Amino acid sequence: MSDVPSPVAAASLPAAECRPGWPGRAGAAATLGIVAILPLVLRDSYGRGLLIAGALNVIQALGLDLILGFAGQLDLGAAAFYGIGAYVSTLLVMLAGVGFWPALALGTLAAGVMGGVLALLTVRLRGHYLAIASLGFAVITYQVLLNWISLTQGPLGLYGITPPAGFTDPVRLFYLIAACAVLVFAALRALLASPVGATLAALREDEISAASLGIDCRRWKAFAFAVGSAVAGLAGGLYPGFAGTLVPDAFAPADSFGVLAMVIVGGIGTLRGPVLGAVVLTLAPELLRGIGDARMIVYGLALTLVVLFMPGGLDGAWRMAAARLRRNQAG
Amino acid sequence: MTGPGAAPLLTAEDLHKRFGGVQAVGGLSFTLPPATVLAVIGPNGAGKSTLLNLLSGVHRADAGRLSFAGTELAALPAHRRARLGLARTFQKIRLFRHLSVLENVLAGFYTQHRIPTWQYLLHGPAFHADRRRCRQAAAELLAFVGLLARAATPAGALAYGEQRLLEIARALATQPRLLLLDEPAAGLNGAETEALRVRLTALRGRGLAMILVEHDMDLVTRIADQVLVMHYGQKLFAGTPAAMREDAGVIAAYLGGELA
Repeated sequence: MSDVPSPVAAASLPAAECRPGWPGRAGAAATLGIVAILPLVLRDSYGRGLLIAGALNVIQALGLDLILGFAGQLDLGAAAFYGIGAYVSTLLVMLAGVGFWPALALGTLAAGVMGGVLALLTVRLRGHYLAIASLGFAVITYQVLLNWISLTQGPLGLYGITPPAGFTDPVRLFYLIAACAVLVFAALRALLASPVGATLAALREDEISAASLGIDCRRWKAFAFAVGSAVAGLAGGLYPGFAGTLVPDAFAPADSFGVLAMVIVGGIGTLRGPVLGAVVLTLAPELLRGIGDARMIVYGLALTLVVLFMPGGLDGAWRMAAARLRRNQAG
Repeated sequence: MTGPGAAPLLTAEDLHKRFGGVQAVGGLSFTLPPATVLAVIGPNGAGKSTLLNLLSGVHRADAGRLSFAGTELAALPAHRRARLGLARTFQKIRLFRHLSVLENVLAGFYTQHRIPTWQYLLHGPAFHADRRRCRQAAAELLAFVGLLARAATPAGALAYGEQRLLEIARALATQPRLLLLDEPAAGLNGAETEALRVRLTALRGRGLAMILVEHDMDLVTRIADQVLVMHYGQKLFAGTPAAMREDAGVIAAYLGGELA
């Protein structure tokens, strides 16, 4: 370009895009260290069960945040994809004799395909309308699990499900699920730091503008739904071995709101947020057990207060506190 | 640069578009030679913005033919037209307001990434080379519109005139063969309009074809090679800016009306 003033160096741009909620090396190492130590600290089966539930929630919240926070699609069907992953992988093992790992992969794939199909069927819907359609999908999925008795045993459920060989010990099962959570986190981080991140942001911000840049919004909505739902399906495939049983009530449509709350309380549209939200909202009801029946009231009140006074969620509050600390140290 | 005998870059034949009871565009035909700046003028409601929306694919024409560089456009969705080299800005600014100035331009490189699929997950040499290339090109575009120093600012925080220029930079990132500009000077003060004119003149000098919907007649006469005057969705006049000033029909319907 001849009329550009003086040679322009890309170096004059802001250094590597510094994205909110992107952990540094130190933060990542500290988090991995804590994850490694946790099951050695929490030695009773109750504590270890809580750890596994927390790790499953982290995976689910990460998957939903890709769809909700990064691609901007109001998905209220998270529970359905969790259930599809759980039932497809478990039924493949129990009825077709498929090994655990290929069954887990197929359950993940099935949830991803269903997510992509749902996105294509609802491609003209946005905002509240998409929310209702995806919630409707969760209701249908739940009813199928409940009423296709010849396949799922309906409300009686499937019993005697064992964890994969080598992971029957709850500590090892926790490490397996935590490793999956770390892999999902790393994969999403790499994906979102690539041009895919900018593409999804364009889709979220303005579809007409995005299309004017050559972005096929249908395709990228389907992509976000497929990948996010596959992540939920992966969590679903890891769940039955931990629970030992599989009943449709574990995937009730209302459970989608639990995952939604984790994403929003943690910090929507960031990667650290859903992790924080999943950990805090897994622990909170348990820590409040001491106050008996009032605990769900306190829990609900706390949720409301976070949404009211921390618009960026826990992650946003954390970043603001860190920035204030830095300013004070500098000043 | 290109003789009058050269094949037109864009040909519109008998375009029609109706919204409910309103015939926004009714039987419009025109051609755009390569490397030409065409200004579309006309009173409010003449169908100018609708025409740009029909060209860029935001709306589909009810009837008519539209071909761009030998490709039939009418059935193509907006994103396919963008890939053919049609870029646009919007009358009501549509930046990605919460993204930074730099991120807005980088999103415009969507069609130009050359990254093997696996490197989206495991960033390798090709990924980093692509990133350097796009950032360099984005820096040049931002320097061109004078926004390099604002690269990290959220687009929504820019002044109005800067937002108009950023939309142009974002559109240029797609490496268009034809740039559609919907009232780029609307709402700009004198200095901002001059900054815009300097950039458009530079683009014209590079041989970029442009279709410009604009009310600012001074800008139109200084930039445009050809003028299309629209009136109630139809062509009232097509020709050079100089010929337009002499045209009795245009004077009666538009210029005269404005002066009166």
